Amino acid sequence: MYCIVPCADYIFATSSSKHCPMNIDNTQSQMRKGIHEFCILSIIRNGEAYPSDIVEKMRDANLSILEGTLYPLLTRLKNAGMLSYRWVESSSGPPRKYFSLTETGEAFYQELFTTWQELSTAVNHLTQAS
Amino acid sequence: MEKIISINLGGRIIAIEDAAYNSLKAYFESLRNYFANEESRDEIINDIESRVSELMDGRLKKGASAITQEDVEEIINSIGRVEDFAAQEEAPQPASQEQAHSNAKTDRRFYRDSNDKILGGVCSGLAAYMNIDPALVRIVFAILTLGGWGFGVLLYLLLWIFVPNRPLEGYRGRRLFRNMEDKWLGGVASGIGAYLGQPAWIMRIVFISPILLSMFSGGHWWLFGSFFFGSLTGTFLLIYIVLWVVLPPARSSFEKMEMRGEKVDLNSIRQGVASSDLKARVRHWKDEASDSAKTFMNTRGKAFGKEVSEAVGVAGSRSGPVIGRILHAVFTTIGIAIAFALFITLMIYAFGGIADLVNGYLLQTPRMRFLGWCTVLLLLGIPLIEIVIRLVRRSMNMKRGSRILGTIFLLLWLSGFVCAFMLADDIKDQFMLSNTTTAQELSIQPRGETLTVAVPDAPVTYGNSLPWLHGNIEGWDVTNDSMKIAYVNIRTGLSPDSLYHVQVVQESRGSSMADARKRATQMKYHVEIFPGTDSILALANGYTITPAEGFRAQRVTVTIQVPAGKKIRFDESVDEKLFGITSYPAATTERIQFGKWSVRWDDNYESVDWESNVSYIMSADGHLVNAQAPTDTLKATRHSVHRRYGPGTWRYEMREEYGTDADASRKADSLDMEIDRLEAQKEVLENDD
Repeated sequence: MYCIVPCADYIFATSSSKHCPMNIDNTQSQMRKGIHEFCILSIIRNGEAYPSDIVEKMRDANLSILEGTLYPLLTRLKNAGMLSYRWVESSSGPPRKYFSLTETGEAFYQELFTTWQELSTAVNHLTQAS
Repeated sequence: MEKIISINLGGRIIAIEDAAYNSLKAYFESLRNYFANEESRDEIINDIESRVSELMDGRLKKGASAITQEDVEEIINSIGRVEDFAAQEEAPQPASQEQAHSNAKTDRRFYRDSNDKILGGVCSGLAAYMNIDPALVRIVFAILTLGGWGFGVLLYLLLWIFVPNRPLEGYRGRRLFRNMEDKWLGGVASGIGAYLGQPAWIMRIVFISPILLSMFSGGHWWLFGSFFFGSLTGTFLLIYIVLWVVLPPARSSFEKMEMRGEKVDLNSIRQGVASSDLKARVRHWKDEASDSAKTFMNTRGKAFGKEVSEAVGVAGSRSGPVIGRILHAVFTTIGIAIAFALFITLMIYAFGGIADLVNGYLLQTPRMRFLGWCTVLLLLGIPLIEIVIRLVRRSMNMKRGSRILGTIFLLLWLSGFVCAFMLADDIKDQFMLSNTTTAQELSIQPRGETLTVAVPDAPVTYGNSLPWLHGNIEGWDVTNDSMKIAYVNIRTGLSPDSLYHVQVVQESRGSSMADARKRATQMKYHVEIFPGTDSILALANGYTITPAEGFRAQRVTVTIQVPAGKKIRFDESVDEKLFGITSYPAATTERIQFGKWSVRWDDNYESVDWESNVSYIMSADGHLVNAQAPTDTLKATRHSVHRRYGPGTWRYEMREEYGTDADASRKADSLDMEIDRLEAQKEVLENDD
């Protein structure tokens, strides 16, 4: 079995296989990682979201993500122009950041969505065939 | 009993236990280090801070009196530790391939480290590559700069230009710091002590020992200068100052543990933070906050580095200004040109016969030859081998070689530089002083009014002895046995009496006055009155140097003194075959000293612009005046004297052209007779031999 997408960069970078160990945990986490972005975008697309909401929703969907990983990811998506945020006053304490999708983000999401559909069709087809 | 403090976190006032606060602070410190590569690190940290404060606020609202150590543990666990991020770190962003590379932390290439830099991050990048303490690399560079004629700076600049820039994870392990808690001057000694696990006083004694030694052993210890500038003391003082500049101060708990070689993870930070001596420091929150806001070494000189990199544009920022990109291209081109020149030089040196010549004429001791070969092979050969290995690897799609090999190569290359500088120093010594010798003195009394100066021998031309150099080059020739140079200076002065005087002065440089004189004496140059005549001064076509005397920037000056009212004429062969300056004797001659190095400087000499085949009269004030008499029936336009060598035979040829046919045939007849006479004389001489 091969590591799918993320390892490709390691292959380009070092042409060495030792950074891509073939254990099940690693493979699972690699598969999850690939869809984190897609899931986060789709949560935000359904309505303005506060980071801890996103963590909750992901956890409910059994796709846990650490907050410490989520914040940098949101910042990167924001810097890439996919997301925008506004400060919303909260009842307790200082205002919170609420994220929403920009037009670029929407287009990006649509592309990911198409890719996802293609992938899931393909994977379903293959797994059922065997 | 726990002490409770209030902190302002993410816009909220939070009551927190002292120990819990220390853990929290260590946690944020680790986050800052972890996200150091991130463009918007501060924003991420702020977001996490507000989230933490929100979670804490929630606990306080539920009735807790203060945040405890356990609360902090739980909150940190829910957000995630740095170690967990690494496992769950996101796949490369939808950016460029380059960024993907930068995330591949296992990528073991030599980059400059943009995270930890004083100037360009060269040293820290090298340290990250070799997985050693950046401070050690910085010290090596400082030594190369201070002890190696500034060579460290050159190497640094080259690496700055050629090595790409990238945020690196850097070295994790025991590091050299200055110990700010136990210091006399800069904390260098105690920092090294902490690093080596020795008490600070031992290191202090080591640093002070030269001063102590010179005080107790030397008889002149009371002369402040003698022990202050005594070589060992000076060296140690220099080392101390270098270390003071190079070593970072251990300020944060993180750094203090690294200094003692303790394993740095969050647990040990917590322990370190809780330990008593640090507690006192932690209270100075304001000082600490401003310090820890700046990450680990990241601040020092960063402003400067940023300015330089922005100005030069070599920091590798692809979105940089156009001028930066142009400069980058220029530097790259220069780099390629240098590499190409190195390659050509090595080829010529190794296979073009240059090595024999250089060794024969310049590097005349075994030590210098050894240094010469080391310089060439290490300095030029090692990069070539490296390039070849890389090309082979790339074309065969092989894995990278071991880092140990790379390190060995680098060290060999650096030692090539050391050899080069030692060699340069040796060569400099060989050229230190110059001396002259008067090799020949002639007095001539021609029957006529004119002395003709001519060069009868065939001109010195390059004999194509080097396989890589071909062409019709005049004035210079070289073989393994001898070197011939046609660079002869002529001086025309006023004779003190009624005779023509000719003096040949040979000059050479050398390691001492005696050595220079010896080498000057050994040069072979000669002048003579052309056999069978009394009015032709024949100059040799050049001077010969053999490997015995070596090349030491030799010079020859022929001084011709002409009596007032008498004439001198330069044959065109002088102009054609000799290269050099004709001048009147210098009014003053000075020696200029640069330390031991001395240069002879002939001030205010006046050059003589003579034309070939024109007679000049020496005036009483020592100047040559055009004496072409209009009534002269002899319209001499051409006059040449050649001495031709053939296989086994040689003969004289003299030819003059005259204005009228009658004159010409008459003169030609007499010349033929003259030649026959010379030939006969020569044969007698040869038979005598």
